Amino acid sequence: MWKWLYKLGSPKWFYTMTGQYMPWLVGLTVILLGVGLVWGLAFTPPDYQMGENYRIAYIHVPSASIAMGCYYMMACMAAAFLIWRIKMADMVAKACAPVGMTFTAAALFTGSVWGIPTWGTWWIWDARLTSTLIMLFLFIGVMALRSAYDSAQSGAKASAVLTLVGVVNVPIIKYSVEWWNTLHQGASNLSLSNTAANPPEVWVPAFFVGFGLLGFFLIAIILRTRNEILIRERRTDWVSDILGDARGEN
Amino acid sequence: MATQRKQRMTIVSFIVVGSAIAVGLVLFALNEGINVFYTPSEVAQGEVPSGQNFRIGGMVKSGSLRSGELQGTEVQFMATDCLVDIPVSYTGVLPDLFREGQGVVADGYIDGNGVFQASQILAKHDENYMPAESVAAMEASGATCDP
Repeated sequence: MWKWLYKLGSPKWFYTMTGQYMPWLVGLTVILLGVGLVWGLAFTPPDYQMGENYRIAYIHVPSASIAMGCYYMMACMAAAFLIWRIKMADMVAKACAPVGMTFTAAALFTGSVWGIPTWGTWWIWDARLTSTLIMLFLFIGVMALRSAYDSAQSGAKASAVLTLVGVVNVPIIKYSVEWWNTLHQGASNLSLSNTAANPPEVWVPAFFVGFGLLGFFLIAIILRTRNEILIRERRTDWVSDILGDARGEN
Repeated sequence: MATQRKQRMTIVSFIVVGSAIAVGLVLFALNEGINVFYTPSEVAQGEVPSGQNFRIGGMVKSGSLRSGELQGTEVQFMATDCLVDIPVSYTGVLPDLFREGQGVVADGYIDGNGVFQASQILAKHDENYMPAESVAAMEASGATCDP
């Protein structure tokens, strides 16, 4: 276990390993997203009140979950970088910010689109919406802070600290609907019975889309991290070997 | 080396725990302000700031909705949390999901007659998603009142 973690901390090993598994990950993601989206958007029965427009939840809920998971991941990487000075952790944290920002923006956008016909408004300053907007600003702030420093090392440290300060916001998003009165609904109790609310035919497609988007998220993180590895390790022999052809022409 | 790492671990935990405590205290202090609406019971108990607009949230009481006999697009209904009912009057377009037995959030003020004059009506959706076919089963179980 520790040996495996130690290996994961090696840019070369990460680059080679992710290169090997990438086609499998892409294939699995395409299958999961394909099945989930077609099932959820075309074959699940319409909701008894919202008709067809509830289907946006098949994108909205997984996007929001992944955005929150992404923040936790970025925070773990920030802690690992600050404590153990693991360079790989910083590279993954750097990759997390723009991807997490995009998923947060997607969750906010799909929520607004659903809110207009359902609630009668696209925005309200309730605890769930506001804390999610704060997460969007945190992702943007982490990116801005990193690039504000001339030294990459200082930028990495500063953005890691900001990431850790902001991590308390994620449980607030999660529990906002329980702690306060909000317009946003609470978490659904998923039921295995077909007669109760939230039966499997409603939520199983959401799981397919969710794992498909998780695959897409991992692909995005891995590709960004691989690019970062090539940039930072460009003077090493093994990167020269990989880029040998491209460089030989210069 | 090991002590340095331990020191950094302490600093990182301090950052996380410290900011969590700070934010927790702020939220605790803001507690009432963060709620996006007051329940009818809170309104009845006078917990609402007088002389300014606020939001009430509850269910549209079944059988209380009147619209046809009123002028134009005016509607009247009772907002309830199963303990206290508050009469609400509103003129305008209602959101799709607005209906009896459903959650509602209204923005406005209470007039001299104790009627809540709403300037905006929002429908609150609950956390239940159901295929139209299986709704009959839910209605049989009578699961509607949720304060």
